[in-house]
Amino acid sequence: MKQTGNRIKQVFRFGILAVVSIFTAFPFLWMILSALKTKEEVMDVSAFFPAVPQWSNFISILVDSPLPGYIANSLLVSVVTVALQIVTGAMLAYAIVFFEFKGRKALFTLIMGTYMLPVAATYIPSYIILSRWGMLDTFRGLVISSTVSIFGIFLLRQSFMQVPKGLVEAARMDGGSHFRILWEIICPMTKSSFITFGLMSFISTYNNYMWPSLITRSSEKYLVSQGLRSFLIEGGAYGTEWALVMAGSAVIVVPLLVLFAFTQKWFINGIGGDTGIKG
Amino acid sequence: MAHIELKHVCKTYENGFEAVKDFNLEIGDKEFIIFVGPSGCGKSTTLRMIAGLEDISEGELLIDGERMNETEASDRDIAMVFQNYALYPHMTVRKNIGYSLHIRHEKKDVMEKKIQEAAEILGLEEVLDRKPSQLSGGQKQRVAMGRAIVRNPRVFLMDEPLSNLDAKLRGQMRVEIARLYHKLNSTFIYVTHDQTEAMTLGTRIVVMKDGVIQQADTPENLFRYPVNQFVAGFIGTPPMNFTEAVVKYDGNKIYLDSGSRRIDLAEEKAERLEKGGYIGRAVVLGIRPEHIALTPGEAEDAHGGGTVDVYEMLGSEAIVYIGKEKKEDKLVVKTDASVPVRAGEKVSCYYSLEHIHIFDRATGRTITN
Repeated sequence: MKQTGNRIKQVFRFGILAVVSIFTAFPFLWMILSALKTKEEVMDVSAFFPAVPQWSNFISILVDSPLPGYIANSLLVSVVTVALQIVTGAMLAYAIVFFEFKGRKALFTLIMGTYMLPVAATYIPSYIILSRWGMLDTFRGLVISSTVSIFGIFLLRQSFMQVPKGLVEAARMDGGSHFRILWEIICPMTKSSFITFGLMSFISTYNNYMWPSLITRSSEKYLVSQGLRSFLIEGGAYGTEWALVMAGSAVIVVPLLVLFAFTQKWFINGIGGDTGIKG
Repeated sequence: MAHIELKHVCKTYENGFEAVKDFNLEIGDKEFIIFVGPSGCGKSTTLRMIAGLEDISEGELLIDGERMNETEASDRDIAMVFQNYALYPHMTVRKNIGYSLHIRHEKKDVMEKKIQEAAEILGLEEVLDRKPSQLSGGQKQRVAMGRAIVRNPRVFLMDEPLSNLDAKLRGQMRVEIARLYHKLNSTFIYVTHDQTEAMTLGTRIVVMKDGVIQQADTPENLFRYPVNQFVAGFIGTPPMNFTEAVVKYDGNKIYLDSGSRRIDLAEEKAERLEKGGYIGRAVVLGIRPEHIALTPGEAEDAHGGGTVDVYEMLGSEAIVYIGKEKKEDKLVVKTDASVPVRAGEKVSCYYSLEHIHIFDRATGRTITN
């Protein structure tokens, strides 16, 4: 009886997961299939698969469109932004967790408080600051305005809190500076959080649309989302060639998929290793 | 070489709790100092202040005459072994031991030589390429010590390093630490709540209670001449027996009246009581379990006695717990295992008069040792 009950539960769980997976994967599959169709086939909902796969759509995107340039822009901005966010986030999280100073809790509350602000509310002050610094329409402006990630500080802080303080003290006794302790002791122990944060930050920077479109005007500075919209959808060189839009979207996703393939196992890993420290 | 001075050192936390009060101590070069006391007595806090892991609220810490209060832990040239080992989990034993050398940019061959030497001293050659998670408790403890000795520091600090080991391993490691101390010829400061460790390892023991030094002396002196009732009760296993008594004078001799029993005193002790004006006053009498002789049966002239409650046979010796009804009748006696007593039997106790300790009832201070 019990075994039958367990099997029913298992089938039920499997069913739910299968439905959710199909819903999640379907738009992606549709995008890939549409990218291989002709313009007419895309609009014809009666056929799910293309009659003849139009590989030329991809060639056209890679060779004739400026999309590869936008991808390069996005990759550059994302890599630099993520690197800066990791450095600043880790240093702030380290100070909040391992330093003893007055107002430590208040500082953390303040930092988290800024996280509650609607993003749009920060656009105007940020825009004015960048404008005064002459950084509008520059990659520098894009990067500098995203140097610190509150989410990153929070995520790394939670992770650092799992590290026994004794380890930091031991490293200090060994003669380590705080900077060295952070990168040689804490970072390897909380690697999964760093990678998780890096990946999430990379995806959001790479896909960011609103803020870059506010501060960049010249088309050679466009990031992918902006570029895709202005060049392929807003009656650009291709009009609304949906098959090409889909092929462009599919190409854009490739760097993210590659990155995810290399880092996915770290999502599963929690804080690793044995310090010899008992709880 | 390390000469450490703690002058009027205090530690007060932000919430107002005073963990260490007016701590004064001078530690000579190559001493093995033990801080001992019950939980919360401030021994670890004091050690951590010496290490630089806790700020000193008041007072001064001098190492070789140089004020250290503001010096970073990393710049004090002090090594510390932590209670929980604090090994870096992502590094091999070799890297754990050599990490401090790596920080100092030591040359690779010199580093390797020092690591090998430390590993040989501690018997870790076989496990140098393992990670901490692959080691036993004893091995982890050795790695933690290796990490300290590889640096050849001025001072070794050890914060209850054996408390996570089982009894057998603790005994072994205790011997190894003693051996290490003689080999390294350096200054050791060791925190423990285990008085066996304190008595066997220390050249000098600092007994602490409520953040205050009670007594700092050699193990032998602490055992023989405790300055107060706390030290007398803390040092020695089983602990000293305490019973209340009144100092009386019968016109000829000064003696102690404990319940209905009369305990005569050695002349020197009687004199001190008389000089201190204790005649007619209540005092606390202390006698160690090993300074009580047992005889079967009840005797009128005995200093104490009663029914044996529990008899613990330990091999060559036995611990006898006497009396269970009245608190003042309770006594613990350490005796030769050949003494023929068993639980439920009546026994009489005779104190070794020269080993009687008498304490002031109000202050707990020793009147006579």
